Amino acid sequence: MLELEPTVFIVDDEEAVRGGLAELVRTIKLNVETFATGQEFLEAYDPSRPGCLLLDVRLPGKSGLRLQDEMIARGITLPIIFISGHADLPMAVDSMKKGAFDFMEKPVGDQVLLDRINAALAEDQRRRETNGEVEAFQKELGLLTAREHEVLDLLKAGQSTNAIAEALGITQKTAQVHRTRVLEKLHVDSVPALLTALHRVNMM
Amino acid sequence: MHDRLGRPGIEELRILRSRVAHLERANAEHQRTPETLQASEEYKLLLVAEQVAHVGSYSRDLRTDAIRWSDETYRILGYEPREVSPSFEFIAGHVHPEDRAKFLEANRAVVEEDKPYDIEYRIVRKDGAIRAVRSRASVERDPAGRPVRMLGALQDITEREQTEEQLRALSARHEAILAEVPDIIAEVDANKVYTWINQAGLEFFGPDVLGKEAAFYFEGAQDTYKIVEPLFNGSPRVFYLESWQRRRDGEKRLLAWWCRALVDAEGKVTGALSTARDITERKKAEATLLASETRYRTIFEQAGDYVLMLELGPDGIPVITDANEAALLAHGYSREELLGKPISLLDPELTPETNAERVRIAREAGGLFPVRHRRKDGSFFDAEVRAKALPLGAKTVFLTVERDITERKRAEEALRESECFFRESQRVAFIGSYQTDFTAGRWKSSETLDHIFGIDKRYDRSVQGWLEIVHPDDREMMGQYLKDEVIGKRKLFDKEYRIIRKSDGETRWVHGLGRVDFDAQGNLLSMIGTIQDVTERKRMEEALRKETAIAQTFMDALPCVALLLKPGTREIVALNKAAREAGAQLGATCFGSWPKFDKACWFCRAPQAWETGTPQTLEVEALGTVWEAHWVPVTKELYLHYALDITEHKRAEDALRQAKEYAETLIQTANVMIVGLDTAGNVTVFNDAAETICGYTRAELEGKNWFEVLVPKDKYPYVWKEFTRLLEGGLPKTFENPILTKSGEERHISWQNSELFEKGGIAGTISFGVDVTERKRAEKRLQESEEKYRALFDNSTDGIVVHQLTPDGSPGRFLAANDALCKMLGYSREEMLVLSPRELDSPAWAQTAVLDAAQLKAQGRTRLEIEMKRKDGRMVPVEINACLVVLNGETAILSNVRDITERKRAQMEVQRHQEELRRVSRLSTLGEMASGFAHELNQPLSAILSYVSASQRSIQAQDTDSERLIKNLDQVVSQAKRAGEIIKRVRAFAQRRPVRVSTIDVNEIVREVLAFVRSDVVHKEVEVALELGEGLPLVPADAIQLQQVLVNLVRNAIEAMETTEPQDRRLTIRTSLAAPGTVKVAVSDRGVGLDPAVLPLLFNPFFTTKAQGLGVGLAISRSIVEMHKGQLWAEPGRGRGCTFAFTLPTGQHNHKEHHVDVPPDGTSYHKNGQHDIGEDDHA
Repeated sequence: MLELEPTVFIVDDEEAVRGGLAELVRTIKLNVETFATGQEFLEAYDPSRPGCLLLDVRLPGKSGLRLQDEMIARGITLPIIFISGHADLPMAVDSMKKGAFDFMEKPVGDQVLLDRINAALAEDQRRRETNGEVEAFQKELGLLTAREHEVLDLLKAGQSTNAIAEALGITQKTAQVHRTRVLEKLHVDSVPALLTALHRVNMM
Repeated sequence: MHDRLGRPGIEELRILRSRVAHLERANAEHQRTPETLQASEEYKLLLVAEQVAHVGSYSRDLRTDAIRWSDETYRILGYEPREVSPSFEFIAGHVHPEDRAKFLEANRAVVEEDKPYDIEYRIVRKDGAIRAVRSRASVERDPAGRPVRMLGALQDITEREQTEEQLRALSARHEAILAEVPDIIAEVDANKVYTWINQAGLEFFGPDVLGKEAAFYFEGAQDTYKIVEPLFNGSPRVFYLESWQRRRDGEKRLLAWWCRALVDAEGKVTGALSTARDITERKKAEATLLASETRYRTIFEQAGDYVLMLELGPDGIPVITDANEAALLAHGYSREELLGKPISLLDPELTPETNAERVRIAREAGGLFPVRHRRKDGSFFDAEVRAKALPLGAKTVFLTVERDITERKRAEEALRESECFFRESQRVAFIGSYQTDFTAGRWKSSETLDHIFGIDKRYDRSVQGWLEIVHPDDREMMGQYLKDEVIGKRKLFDKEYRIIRKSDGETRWVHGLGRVDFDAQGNLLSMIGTIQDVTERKRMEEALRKETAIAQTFMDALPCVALLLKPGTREIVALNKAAREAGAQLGATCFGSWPKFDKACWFCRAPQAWETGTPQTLEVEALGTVWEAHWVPVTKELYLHYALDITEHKRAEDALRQAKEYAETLIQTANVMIVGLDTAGNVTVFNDAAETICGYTRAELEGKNWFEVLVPKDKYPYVWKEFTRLLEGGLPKTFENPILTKSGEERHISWQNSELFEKGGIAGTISFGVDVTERKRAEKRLQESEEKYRALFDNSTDGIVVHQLTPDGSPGRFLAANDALCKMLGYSREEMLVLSPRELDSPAWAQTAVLDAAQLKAQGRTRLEIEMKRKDGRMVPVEINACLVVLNGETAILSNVRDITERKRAQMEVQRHQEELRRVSRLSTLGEMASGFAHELNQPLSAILSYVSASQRSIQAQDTDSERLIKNLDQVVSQAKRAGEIIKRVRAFAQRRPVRVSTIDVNEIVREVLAFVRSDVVHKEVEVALELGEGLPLVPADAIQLQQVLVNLVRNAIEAMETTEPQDRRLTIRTSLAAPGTVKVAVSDRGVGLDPAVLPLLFNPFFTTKAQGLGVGLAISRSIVEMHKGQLWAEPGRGRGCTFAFTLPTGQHNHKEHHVDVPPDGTSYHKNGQHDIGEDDHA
């Protein structure tokens, strides 16, 4: 996957805005593709292509936020930099919660924008690498027994061994055993390492 | 009555002439064929005919001068035929000396010069009578032209001339009658006031009779006035009346009136037409006659003697036809029992011989004879009868005066018994007695006789002595009488004769009665008798006789046939001259006496007159003549019958009546009231129209005072004053006053009055009235109305002006202007009326007026607002309501001009407030849209920033792709412009600005608005669908205000869809041509829709269903649309959502839309361009 050049996708209903942004991105020698609507973008985008998305919040027909939802539903992990005409805090929070890479207010300073584009591209690359670890990790998760899953969930919640034993109605020892097996099965040596691994595969 | 003359009329004369002509021809023929024909029958006939026609013929041989006459020629000259041998000289000798020259000249001329011979001349007949003759002749000539013979005819034309003369006189008389009706003909109205009278009447009563009541002229007995009352009550129609009237010279005259009621169509008596004749003289004659008759009657009735009237019955025995009271009493019979009975009832011993002897005595000279009469009770008494035959008409009436001599005998006996008593009684009775001893030739006289004779004892009492006493004129007669009658026939001496009283020479009448005694040998012995002085009686009788003669004279003087008749037999017992002339004869029946009446008249009223004892009058038309026949009972046995030819009178009367009826009809049927009043104000004339209007009938008002009855109390003094003024000859003669009708209603009458003159003064008035109540009311209403309207006109705060309508429809000259208008414009009224309306107008009016004229003509009225120029040059905004009116037949424009300065100011204030409100609303909208606008502005700004940054980097990176750079910079410029437009748009929306109407493409406005609300649309994720009509007409409108409306509607629509699923948020804007001249804009959403409950409130200001906003959007939008003469409304959508739509007139449809330009809130305008008001003017 890494052999592909990243592309900056721009979706804005206003041609001038699109054009301006495209020109700016091109100054840092990145590929640029522009779309007037979210739908156009969805139809044209191949998830295997790396890059990032500059997305206007306000779009006629389907707004930027709705496009983000659609992309999540489709499992597209392309980092999204939202560009809004005016600061709309709840909208920004919402989008960020859903995993937007950034939320910027027009007019956006050229350097800041370009920095964030680079960051987004790096994030995209990282995400694409992580995607391999997750597949392995999930295979290991499948080896866990039902009791071990229960223990894993309690560990993810930060519960101690004693608390786990108490919650599951088992002895401390038994709980110790389950903890050890989970760590063994998932190839981690400690609980913090477990949590990190889980985080990495977006299971936290 | 000319027929009664019995003389030939003109027709007869004509026939006579033609006959004469024939005879002349025949005679001429006869003259030519002498001898042979003379003996023929034809000739004889001719002679007879000549005789009948009084035409003679003659011939004269001009060579020998031998003359031959026909028999009649002899007769005409008074000779027997052939009595003389005529010669020309002989004839000439018979010509009247005065005509002789003419006669000779004519004879000479016909012979010598052959001139026509036709002359009339007089002849003196043999017996000296002068006759008129006409002679015509011709002369025969030999071939040499010498005269041979003259043939001629001679006609006695005396009769003809007389007839012609009479005809001429008759004709003249008729003409005179026609020319002047001598009778008075007068007409009185129902109040018996003279209303018309002829010349005769004027001459009688005086020229001032008209208008006076008939009673005015009545003398004495006014009850005659009452007698005619029935005439006025409707019966009878004709009335005869005799009344004493005062003539103009004050003399009392008796007039005979023939009154005829005048009746109108309804049978109501309206007056009477009367003819009157002065019968004073006749009446006096009648009265004399009557007095005389009464006297006779009294004598007859009251006489102590028994008087019987007898007529000879068929068997010669006298029949009693009348008897006086004394006779009835003496014989013990009632009148009925006695009348019609033969005298033998009373004288059963009467033999035919005795009767014949007595009739003879009575017929001859009248005489005395003794009778012995039987009473009804069978007892007898001796009587002495003096009988006298009196010719009455064709009959003979025997008058017998019977004296019961039983008493006389008794008295004589008693006298004889007592000489003294006898003498005394003789003296008292003035009866003297004598005894004549014929043997001695002496007579002895009583003392009374001596006194009667005026002799003393010494007087020679011989027969000669007696004769000397006898009046010389009677002496012979008395001697004869004594010798022949008394002595010769041994009759009773019974004679009235005159004596000369010896004592004083006075002529006295005495009545001698005596009986002569003879001895057995028939020798005269003695005579015993009485002599009574009857002078007084005689004088009385003489007077009576004279009076009777006078009566006869009067009767004769009657201009008509008058007969005194017996009722039963209609026998004429007396007749006047005219009757005699008409052929009536004494003793004949009346009808037989009238010319051409050969049987009893069917109309005879004699029986009625007789039965009722009252005179009867009848008008009869017979034989082409109208007669007024009278039957007047005179005595118990006689009635006077006379008939007046009233044909002419009648004709005049008819003409008068017709004229009168015509006048009456005119009066009665006249539409105008005709009221006559006397000087006291009493009603004398009152026609139908007056009845109708006043509600009173003529009868109700008769004699009533007009002013008291009909004039309202409050008007009385005034009307009475007018009336009296009129009576004094005042002017004018017309005036109006109200009258009070019977129903109590007041009616206004316009009077035309005339005075009625009488006796040189005014007797009253005749007034012609027209009910002008309605007119008066109308006038009053009109006046009130006029005052009201004048007051309105003068006091109206609005200006009112009337001006002519010029042919082009523009206002012409001022006809009227009120104070308010003058004040409004600063002119005096005088100045106003000479101004041209154009001088008052703003320049606009000239144009407007022409445009409005069309509407004025089409609809009769128009309304416009203009400015008028005051005198001081300032303009006054006015609202004019103009309409077409017809004033005095001329079409004019009536304009109500209202000064709307204040209203204008207020409207402008309102306008300003509204405009402010709209701006506030727009600002509010802008506020609400601020973030949107920020976004909008951000777009170009961020684009600019991007392009500029990109360009900078390219330059820094030494990337000199100039083409790209330029492209980027172009983008920068374009985006900067765009940003500027956005700002400009917002600023315009927020700006305080005046209304600016321009022609606008609605679609353009829609696009502008979409740009305006773009951020909202995008932000609310609303899909916008535009359905814009193509080729829509432009509309006159203020663009910003129109945008404001659309922005409001679009934003409302967007907000309405907040709860709608994003994919369903669809906004549709549709523009179309709704109707000719109307563009429609509709904004539809798919929102929550409208609660029907809020629909009515939707356009109220400050009504809102939203948390934000003023709630004035829709109210303001509607006011804006309406300002543009459009409409704004909401339509609930199908299913959900709703549509707001508005229309705008294009102003190009027709003139009606002309006012689209005039906002209803009074915004002023100019036809020819935009006109700003608002903040700029009033800030």
